[in-house]
Amino acid sequence: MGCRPVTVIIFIFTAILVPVLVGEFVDWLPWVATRLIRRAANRLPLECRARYEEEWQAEFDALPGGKLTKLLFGLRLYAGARSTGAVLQGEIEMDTAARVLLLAQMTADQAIADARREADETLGRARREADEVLTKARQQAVQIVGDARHLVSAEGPSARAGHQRPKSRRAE
Amino acid sequence: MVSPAGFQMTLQTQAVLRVLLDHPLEDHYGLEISTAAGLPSGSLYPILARLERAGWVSSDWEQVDTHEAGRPRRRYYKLTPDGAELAEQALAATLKRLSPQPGLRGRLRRDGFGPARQPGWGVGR
Repeated sequence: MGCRPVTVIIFIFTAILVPVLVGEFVDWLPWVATRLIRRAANRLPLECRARYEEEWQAEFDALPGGKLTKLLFGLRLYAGARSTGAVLQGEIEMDTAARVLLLAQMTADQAIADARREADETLGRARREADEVLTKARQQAVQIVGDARHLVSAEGPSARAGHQRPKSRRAE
Repeated sequence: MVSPAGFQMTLQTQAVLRVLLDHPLEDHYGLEISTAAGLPSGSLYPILARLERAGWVSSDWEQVDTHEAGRPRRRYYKLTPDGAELAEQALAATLKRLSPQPGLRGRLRRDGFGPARQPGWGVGR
């Protein structure tokens, strides 16, 4: 009984091609897993991607088991990356809020320091001006007193007596 | 149950904390924790990220020469001193909550309202 061509083709396909194709597919699994790890890292916020990709790659290398285990590892990471990303995103948002708060505090502190410095400068200027006015007033007062003494001394003893007359009267 | 740090104390989180608490002074990397806690890698990292965010866990890169070691450096996780204390408290609270509570009959009997326990066959003769 001769073999039909279809039977021969089926035999060749199942006996040779399928194992070759399966072997080829299995050999590609670690590469697929690595791509999945990269994809999973890309689901994370930009700031954390490098860290987690390196971390997961190190774990992938340490993973015991065969190529299918590695693929499962990659798939599970990819499935959980969205959740990890959400947690990390929240952390980043909190960090951003803390940074904004810190910046606001720094700006407020700077504004307070500027206002204090300006107030100190104004106060110093006012004090200097007041000192100048006071000094001038003192000088003028000294001048007036000097002039008055000079006038009194220029009027002579008669004037002094005239001034003292009421006193003598009172004494009488 | 929500922990004082604001995250859910799920069974998976408890499993991770137990693994970390078993050897609190040692560094653990993700795969090790994942294997010990019986968690898939996809579930582990959100938990570690949450614990790290809450300040219960800190992580750092392994100090190793990658050429000498022949492998990439690992990220190691460890409980912080505060985290270890809080984790112990949280696990104890969970255990207490899950332990069987006495029912109404038990409470009445304890408070002296229940019927006196009858001796069984052959007892009290």
